[in-house]
Amino acid sequence: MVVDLTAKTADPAIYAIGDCTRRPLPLYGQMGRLESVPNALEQAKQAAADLCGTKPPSPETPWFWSDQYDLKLQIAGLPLGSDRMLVRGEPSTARFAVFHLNADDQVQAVEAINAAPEFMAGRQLIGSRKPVAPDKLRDITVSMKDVAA
Amino acid sequence: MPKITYVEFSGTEHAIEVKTGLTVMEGAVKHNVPGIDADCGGACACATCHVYVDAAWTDKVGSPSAMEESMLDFAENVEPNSRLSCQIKVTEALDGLIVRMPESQH
Repeated sequence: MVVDLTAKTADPAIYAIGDCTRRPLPLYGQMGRLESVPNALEQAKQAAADLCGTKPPSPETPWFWSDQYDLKLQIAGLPLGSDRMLVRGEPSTARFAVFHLNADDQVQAVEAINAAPEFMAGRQLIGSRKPVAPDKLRDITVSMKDVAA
Repeated sequence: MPKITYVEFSGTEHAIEVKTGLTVMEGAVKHNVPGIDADCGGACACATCHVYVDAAWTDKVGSPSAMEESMLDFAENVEPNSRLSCQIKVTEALDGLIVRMPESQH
């Protein structure tokens, strides 16, 4: 079901939220489906605001998580429009993150394994569109706070 | 059942009896206390259940794990008594606990 940013379908009397919807992705300038709990929550807020005539919520960065035994997966953004991947940390240690950057060094997505700071800072960077210095991002001796600063 | 007082940013108080074994976050969400979003449902994955633990209770509540600490590092308006309420298990020892909420969870 195609919906707008108020979770409304082409019929103004019908709203739809969740996995079944194709919705605008403001950060990426295209439509898409997001199969995730945070997406359903965001669209619930959009629909509720529209129904109540209150201020629409500001667009959220899509994100996903899963706990797989001792691995905590946290993913923010979508790797759309990215042209390279950069790995921060050593995959063999089971604590690392893959950043997807576009040509302007803006973060489009981050996939973090047992790496909460990378996920949290990455999510902020995706939303802010602030370009990053790839050399700093790759260097685990530079904290994510400093990378994002 | 332990009684927990949730104080909204506006000052509105909600005194709720919460079953032991639940988390402080679950106690709020199950009773529709506004101000704790808990978008990830309690997996320590999103930092949207941020609360400030009342000064009299910080010792009893204990300190955050390394994972929780690194999530809190990137939350807004973090104070020394900040915790993620999904990581605080309710026990009889927490009867009377007071937690305050930040202005926003996002």
